[in-house]
Amino acid sequence: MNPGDREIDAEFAAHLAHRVDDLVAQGWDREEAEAKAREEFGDLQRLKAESRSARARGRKRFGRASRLDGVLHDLRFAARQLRRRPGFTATALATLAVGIGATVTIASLVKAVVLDPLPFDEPDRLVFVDMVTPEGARFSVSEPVFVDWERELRSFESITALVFRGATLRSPGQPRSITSANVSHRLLDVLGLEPFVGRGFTAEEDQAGQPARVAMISWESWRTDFGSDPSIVGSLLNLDGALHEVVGVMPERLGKMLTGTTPVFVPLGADPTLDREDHYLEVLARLADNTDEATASAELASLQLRISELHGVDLGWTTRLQPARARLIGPTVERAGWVLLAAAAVLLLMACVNVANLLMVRATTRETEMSLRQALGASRSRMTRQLFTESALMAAGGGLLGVLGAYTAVPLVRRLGAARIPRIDEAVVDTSALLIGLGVVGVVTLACGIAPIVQLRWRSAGPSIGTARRGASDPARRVRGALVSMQVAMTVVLLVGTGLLFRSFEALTSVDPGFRAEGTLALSINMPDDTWDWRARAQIVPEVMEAVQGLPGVTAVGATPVAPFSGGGLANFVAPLDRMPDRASDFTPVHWRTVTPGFFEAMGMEQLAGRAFRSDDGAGDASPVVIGRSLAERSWPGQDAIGRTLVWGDPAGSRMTVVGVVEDLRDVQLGETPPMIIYRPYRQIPWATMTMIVRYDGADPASIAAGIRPRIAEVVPGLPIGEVSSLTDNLHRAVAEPRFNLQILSGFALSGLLLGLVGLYGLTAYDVRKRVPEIGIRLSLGARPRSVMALVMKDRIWTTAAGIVVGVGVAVFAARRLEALLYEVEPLDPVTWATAIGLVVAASALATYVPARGAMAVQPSHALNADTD
Amino acid sequence: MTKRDLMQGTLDLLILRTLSGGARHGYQIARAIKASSQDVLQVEEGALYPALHRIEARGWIEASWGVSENNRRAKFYGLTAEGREALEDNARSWAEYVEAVSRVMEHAPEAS
Repeated sequence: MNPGDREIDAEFAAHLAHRVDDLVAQGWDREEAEAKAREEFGDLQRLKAESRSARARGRKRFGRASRLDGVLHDLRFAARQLRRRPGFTATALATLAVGIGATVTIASLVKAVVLDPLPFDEPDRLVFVDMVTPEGARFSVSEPVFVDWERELRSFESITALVFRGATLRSPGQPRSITSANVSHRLLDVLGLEPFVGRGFTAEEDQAGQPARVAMISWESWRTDFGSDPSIVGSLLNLDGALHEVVGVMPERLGKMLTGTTPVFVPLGADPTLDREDHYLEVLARLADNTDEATASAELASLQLRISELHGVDLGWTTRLQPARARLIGPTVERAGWVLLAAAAVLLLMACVNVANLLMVRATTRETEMSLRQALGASRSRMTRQLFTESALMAAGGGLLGVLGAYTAVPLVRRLGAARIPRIDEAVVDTSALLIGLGVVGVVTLACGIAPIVQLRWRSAGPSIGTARRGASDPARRVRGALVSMQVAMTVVLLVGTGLLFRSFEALTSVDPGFRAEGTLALSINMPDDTWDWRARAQIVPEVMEAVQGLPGVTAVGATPVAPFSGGGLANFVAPLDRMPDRASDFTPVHWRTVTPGFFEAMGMEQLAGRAFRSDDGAGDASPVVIGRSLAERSWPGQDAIGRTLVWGDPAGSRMTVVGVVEDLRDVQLGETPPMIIYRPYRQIPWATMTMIVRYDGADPASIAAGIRPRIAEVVPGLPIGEVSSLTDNLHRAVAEPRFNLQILSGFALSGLLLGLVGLYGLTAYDVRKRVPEIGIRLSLGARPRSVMALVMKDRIWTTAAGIVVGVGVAVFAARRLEALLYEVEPLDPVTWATAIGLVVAASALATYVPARGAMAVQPSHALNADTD
Repeated sequence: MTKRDLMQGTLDLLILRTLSGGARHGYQIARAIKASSQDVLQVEEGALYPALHRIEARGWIEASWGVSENNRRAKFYGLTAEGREALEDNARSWAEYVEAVSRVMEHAPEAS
């Protein structure tokens, strides 16, 4: 006999002994008891053999279970649970994917557009240095003033100025009308960048009034126009007829934020002898070490005061520093970024609430399972762990789908915003976006997972297996009601926000820009000095216009140096002769343009008084001008402006006679007060770069566009022509930013509304199911179906009402944050609020009514058989 | 109420459950299952001991000799940490099983 067998013998003996003890205690005779015990026990030898082999089998089959096995087991179990209810799982996954996808997408966007530092060295030290008119408007800087600043200011480590000009690039390739940038030589120092290849401009090349014939080209242009030519440095460009040696290629990091698509850069050669009234430079500077903005600002202000007094120019003007970031990204873009991110977060929250809700419903239907497992000794921590595994698995699945969705959505959104939003083309789902996604999944796991666990705790303290499912007091239901209220509240917030943006967008797009963009084409022509002097230009433009006018379908042609919404502009000062101030600084700042006859007609602008320009205007000594309405009203309030005289620039300036008044143009910022504007005849000031506006009638614009270029080439061979566009595109671009915000936010609001509906519907449907016995009894006792339905709906009316009240409170707060993005709409706009709330009420009523109607269909006989899922 | 025999897997579960309250010897286990099932479940000694030894071999329970309440030497079984895990897992599978069966029963076609 081996020791194992001996032990089994001893164990069996002990069993028998205990049994006998029991029987004896019950009054049995000991001998009879022993016999009975042995009889009950069965065949000892066979049992011993079975025990032995059971031991052996058990050893063979089971190794030691590790902790990892436990986790895997939980995961497998969770996956099985999720698979078993595909409808529930799909809903939850889709909901989470939408929420997480939206959040990751917008986060990627906000990171690229708002959060990423400017692509320059220590960008926080970069500031724009502006002049400010006595009216408080930002203004550009004159060349002499820039030279003074450059020489005197100590607060800046480096300072640079730039101005963009139309130019003709004759070689390589066909002559092209381009934009070139004249920059002072410290541009790259200020930005803290190195040229991609070659070198930047030197101080010698930037001599006052005599800039050297050298050029740099943009990285983008090097790649596309010059085919990444490695021997570009040292080659020659024919710019405006003069050969320029290429000394370098701008760094890729310069990007488009500061200089747009400008392909060519040449030295500025800022000249201190030029007219101090001529403001056109944009000035950018880098703060010196240990110098803050306030110090620099103070130094600048005192210097500028001395300069103004010394020269008697810019009197009453001030200066201002603006951080480069604020200028280049723009406050509305930044605000919109945060608003959209907040909206995405709200959507995510709604998704979590929905899933938590679903999980709670499911936890209720799983109560039997939970009770049984608990009764069988599953510890609470174990069950918690397992519920949590399920939530985590679901969140991870939703997160994966959401991130995949974001990969698809980001390029789409990039395209939506490409027209006007800086840097949006740099938005990608990168590591940080993925980390955000991961973090969100974690939060979602917690948010969704906690509900059923809390429920488990309540339940485990509460009723037992048999009664759990019919428990009358149901804290979980109250929590679910609160969750749905929260969803209703968030829906209100999203709808109000979207409504406000919508109303604002509507107001903005219905603003009359002062011209009719439909039915127009625009193209630029460039007449560089080397080929066409001003006399020739004054000749050519009418010829070109006449030729284009002759094309079939063309009804009017005009030209201006500043195309609508091109962002450019010319400025000067005027005063009415009869009320002329003594000092030039008290003159009225105005925008001005030189325009050809036919311009107002081609633009579709309304002539309010007098006449438009004729072809002989500007030929003699007289200076006829046409002015915008607001300038006429300001100069001669309540009187006729025709025939009056305006003084140009300063008290000694030329006298100009007003021959016509036209409607104001809002072609700088659609939503802003139109600038006062004055039009001068082209013949008097024949600008080198002109944008032709061609109005056509009905006919196919593409064929007209195709006909223009060859026709011009016929009349003036070799005249550089830019791309043909349309003013509608420009107008469209002008509202690109608000349109983008509206598109994204309305997508969120729609999703939010849907989630809210699902939540409310689900809760009501659940109520009805849970109350089937009660409803059945009521119906069998003669209650009318309608009153039963009302009973079910009553609770949900309170849920909705509470949600709306909370939502309105939050939305009031949120709407104020939106104010900066709104045009002519108050944050508390009654139409928006009424519509949003009305929509929520209507949607809630529907989401409650449909399932509640189901209550009327309950058969009394179902009352006893209600625990179906 | 009729008395029912136990399927093998179920017996393991019941043993583990019984031992979750503390170490017991074989006879006590049989008595406890019978008592807590209100005499519905009858454990055969012929099944109990092979089951105990099998479970012990898996490492879910540990045995040690001690003195019983009747002052007799007896072999006491107690749950190991793994045994506790196994109990929860088995309980869970069991619950699923029961839930599934009861759902089938609830959804059984109504007699018309």
